[in-house]
Amino acid sequence: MLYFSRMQVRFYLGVGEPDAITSTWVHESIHARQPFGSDHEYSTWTGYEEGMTEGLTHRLLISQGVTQVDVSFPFYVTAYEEIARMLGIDVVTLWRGLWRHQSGSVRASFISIVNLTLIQSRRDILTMRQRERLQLATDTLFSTHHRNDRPDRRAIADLLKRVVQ
Amino acid sequence: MTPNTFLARLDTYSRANDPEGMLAFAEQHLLEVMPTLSASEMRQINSLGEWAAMVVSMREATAHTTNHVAEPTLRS
Repeated sequence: MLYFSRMQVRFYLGVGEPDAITSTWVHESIHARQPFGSDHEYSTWTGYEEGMTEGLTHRLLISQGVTQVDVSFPFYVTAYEEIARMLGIDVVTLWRGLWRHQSGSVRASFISIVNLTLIQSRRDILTMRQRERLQLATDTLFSTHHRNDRPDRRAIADLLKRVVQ
Repeated sequence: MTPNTFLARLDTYSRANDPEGMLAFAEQHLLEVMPTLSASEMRQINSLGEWAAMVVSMREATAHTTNHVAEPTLRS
């Protein structure tokens, strides 16, 4: 069940951002796709879940003509986009693969979903060494500490390139 | 309390991995700062608050599941 804060609804209506309410609704619905998993993964590497959730939310809203909503967790969304770009895969396909796993288990399934997406894209899967290096890089990028950071796309791309390739 | 002070306090609770403390603090002071918040500050508060609410919900869900698993053991 989703609960809306009346206070926040009033706030967003008051500042002229009613679409933020729709965005929140979609975002929280994606979190609620399955019963929650363990809190450990989410509390430490919140970006795996929030980046995927907000990325899907934003693409869905854009597809419905809602284009004026700011992206929450922009650092994590940008990190996903750069990971997909580096691997030559479609970021939405990656997010849709991760979406099948419950909140709190996205990190645990991340590497296998990346490999599955690579196979679907007719690309080589990652070697064991690349898997370890990619997880190392994404654990850094999706750390909870980056939650309110502004993304530097080039710095994220450089980090991925340095660590993974 | 200014929005910056409020946000800094939320961040302190987050870094201390204390979601319950963050939610209790936010509940106590959010109304006070709300009239002075910008949309951008509200988004930052939402990001921090969402983390806390999710962690608390996950802990509750885990405890609930554990209780269900433990029940037959207690009966046996």
